[in-house]
Amino acid sequence: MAKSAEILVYITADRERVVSGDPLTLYITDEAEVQRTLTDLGRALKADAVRLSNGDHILISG
Amino acid sequence: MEQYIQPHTLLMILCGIGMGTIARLITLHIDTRQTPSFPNGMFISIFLGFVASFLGAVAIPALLAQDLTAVTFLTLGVQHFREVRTAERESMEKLESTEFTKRGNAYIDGIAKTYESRYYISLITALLVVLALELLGREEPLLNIGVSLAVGFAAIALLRVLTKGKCVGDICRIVQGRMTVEGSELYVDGMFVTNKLGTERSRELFLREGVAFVITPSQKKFEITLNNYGQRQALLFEATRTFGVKRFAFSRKSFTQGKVVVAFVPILNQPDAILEVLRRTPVLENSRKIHTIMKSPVIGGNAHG
Repeated sequence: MAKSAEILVYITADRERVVSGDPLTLYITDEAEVQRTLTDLGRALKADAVRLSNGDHILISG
Repeated sequence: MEQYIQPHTLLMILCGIGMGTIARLITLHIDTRQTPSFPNGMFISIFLGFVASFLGAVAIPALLAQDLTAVTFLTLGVQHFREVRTAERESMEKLESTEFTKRGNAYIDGIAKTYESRYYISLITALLVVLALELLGREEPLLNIGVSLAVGFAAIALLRVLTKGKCVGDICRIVQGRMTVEGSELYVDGMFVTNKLGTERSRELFLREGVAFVITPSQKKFEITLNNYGQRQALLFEATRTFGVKRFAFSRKSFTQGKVVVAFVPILNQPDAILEVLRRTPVLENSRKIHTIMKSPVIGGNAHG
């Protein structure tokens, strides 16, 4: 079986979804900034970005 | 002079060793898979082929000389070649982290077994050549060499046919697929592949430089082989190792359509060549669950090694 993925970062534009704990959750409302952050963190963490149907993004490894 | 080997016996053994080593040379083809590696891996394989041939060549004369102890060296040889398999497996497992995508345990096991079996081909060829010369019972050197060549090549041909595997291209149809991106999701010919294209940059990269291939089994029963995780890993591995990966490499099965998709962003964008590599990927022994495709490998493709 394939190895399981791990959520490294959660990026949301909804303040209600920002909860403490693991993974790191970032509150960013500007879409351009979201894209830049995803690219920068994705490169640094060697992670893939996924856009959820609710508009939030996650960075996952594996 | 009695302690020295007789010239005729020496000639028989040399013919056996020669044909056994030729057998390893014939079964040693370096292609895009680069297994064994060149030149060191290749040299090791040839030398071990020589050792296997030597063991096979001396077995019959030793038996005739009532030296049964010498024959037990055959079992030691078999043990040694099993260790070769283990060594190859360990070597490939250690290199897994350096590859673009993983070979996978199933593919590694298949390659390691192939290595082992090729030494047995050398050993059996040498043994059969010496046996034929012994049965012939003639001392003319040219006649002995001629018979060695005939028996040796016949044995090699027979053993190659018996051990040859099939390729994915023999049981599947492979075509290039059309990629579309919806949101962060990649689809190939309407089949979902991944939702990991979450950034604009990744979507543009995939649509601009990515390649995707759709693999369809030629018969329903081959779906089991194709959907095997190890088999899909092997397909992705062969494609990515030969052409490199800039970013992303996916293989995805679609049970509804009974197809498998391989998609990645290659360094060398040569779709036709990638297609050929996918076609020539071996069908792994442990993914062949159906009896009928295990039968008669006469019309097989190229095996690895």
